[in-house]
Amino acid sequence: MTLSLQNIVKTYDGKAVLNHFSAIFPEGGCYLLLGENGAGKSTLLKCIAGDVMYDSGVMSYDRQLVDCVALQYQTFDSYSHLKISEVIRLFQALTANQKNLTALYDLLELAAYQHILVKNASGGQRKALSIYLAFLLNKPIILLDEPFADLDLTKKKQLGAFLQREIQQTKQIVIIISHEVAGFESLFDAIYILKDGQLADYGTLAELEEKYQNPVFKGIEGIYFGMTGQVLGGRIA
Amino acid sequence: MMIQIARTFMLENIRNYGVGFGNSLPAFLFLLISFAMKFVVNEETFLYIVKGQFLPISILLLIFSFAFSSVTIYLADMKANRTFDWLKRTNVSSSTYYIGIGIGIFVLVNCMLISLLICYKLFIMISWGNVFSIVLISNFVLLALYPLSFILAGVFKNGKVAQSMLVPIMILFMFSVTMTTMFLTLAGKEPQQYFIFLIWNPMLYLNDSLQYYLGLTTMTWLPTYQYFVILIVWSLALVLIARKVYHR
Repeated sequence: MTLSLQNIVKTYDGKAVLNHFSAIFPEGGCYLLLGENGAGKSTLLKCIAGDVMYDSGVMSYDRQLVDCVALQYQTFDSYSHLKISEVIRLFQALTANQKNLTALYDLLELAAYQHILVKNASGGQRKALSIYLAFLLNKPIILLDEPFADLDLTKKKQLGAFLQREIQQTKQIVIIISHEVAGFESLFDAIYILKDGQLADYGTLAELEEKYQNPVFKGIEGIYFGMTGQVLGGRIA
Repeated sequence: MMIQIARTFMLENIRNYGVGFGNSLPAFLFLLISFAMKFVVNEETFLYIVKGQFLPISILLLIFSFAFSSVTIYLADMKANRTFDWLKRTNVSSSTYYIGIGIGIFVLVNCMLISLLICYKLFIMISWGNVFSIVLISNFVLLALYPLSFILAGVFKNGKVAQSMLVPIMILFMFSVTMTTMFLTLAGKEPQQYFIFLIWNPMLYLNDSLQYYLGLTTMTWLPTYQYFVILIVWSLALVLIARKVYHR
C-alpha cells in the first residue's frame, strides 16, 4: 500500500504554505521531511492526517486515509489534570485494536513517571507519552512531528532502533519531521526536502549526498546545509 | 467507554481545585449569607429573601457555573489543545464521548446540588418531596443547557475566549428571569403574564418551578410536565446544532 500525494495546495490568507506538493510514500518505509521553519512540513502532516483541509490536489491510499493515520503533534497539552498512566489507560479503553507496546513503554521509561500529572510533566515526558499514544492507535501510517526533540540521548537512540524494528515488522509508513537527525541516517529510506511549500528535492541518503557534497558537514546535515545554507541541530554521540 | 470518559471528566474537574472552588463558591456564598441573615432579620423576611432570591439564585448559579460555564471552557480547551484530534483517531464515536462527558457532569452537578439543598434544608422548611422535584427540574434544565456548551465551545477559539464571553451570556440567562420576576412583583404585576417573552430561556422553567416548590406561588406558569417536554425538545434541537457547530 502506497500513500500518494499529488499537487497538494494549501493556502493561508492567500499565502501558499503548500504549493503543488507531490510525493509517494511506499509502505514499510521511514521518510524524513526536512525544511526550514515555515516550509510547510507540519501543515503537510496535518493535511495527511485530515486535521487541515487542503485546497486542491489528490491524496490517495488503498483505504480511507483519515482512518489510517496517527499523528504525534509537537506538543501534548491534553488531559492536564490526569496522570500519565490514566491518559494511557483512557486511550487503551478507547482504542479497539491496540497493540502490545511493552518494548516502547519500557524504552520511553513511562513507568518511572506514570504517576505524574500531565501538567507537571516535563517536555520530554510529554513527548514520550505522545509518541506512545501515536503507536498505541495502531494505524498503518504514523506521522511524527519532532519525535526526538526533548528526549534524552539514550531514549533518542533507543527510539531510533525501535522505529527501525517496527517498520520492518509491521510494514507501516512512518513520516518524520525532525531537525535532530544526526546519527539516525540509516533509519530513513528517503529524504524529502521542502522549500516554500514545494518539494525542492528528494531521494535516498546516498543519492542526495552525491548531489550535495559538503566538505564540512556529513550525511543529512551536509545535504541540508547544501540546500539551505543552514545548520541542523541535535548531533548525538 | 462511556464510564471511562465520565471518570476522566470527573477526575480532571475534581483535581482542578481552583476551578472547582470558583465554580461552587457563588452558590455556597449565598448559602452562607442566608445562614448569617437568619440571626439578623425576622423569620418572615428571612424566608421571603431566602426562598425568593437566595436559594433560586444559588441553584441557578450552581447549574450555570459548575455545569454550563465550566463545561464550555473545558470543551473549548479540548478543541484548542488538540485533544479531539487525538480522540478522532481512536474508536470512540462523537455520541459516546458526548454521553460520557454528560454522565460526568450530571454526577458532579447532582452531588453539589443535593449537598446545597440539604444545607438549605437545615434552616428553611423544604419537604423531601420538593427537594426531589427541584433536583428533577434542575436535571432537565441541565439537559437543555448541556448541548449549548458544545455550540459555544465550537464558536469560541479557546477556554480564555469562552471564559470572557460567558459572563454576558450568564447575565442574559440569569438576570432576564430573576430581575424580570423581581421587578414585576415589586410593581405589583403578575410575572407569569410576561413569561411568554422568556420561553427561549431554560432558566425560566427552573426559576418558575423553584418558586412553586418553595411555596411562593400557587401554581407554575405551565404544567410541570410541559416544562419537561419543552426542555427535552430544547435539548434535542441544540444537539442537532451542536453536531454541526462543534465539529466544524
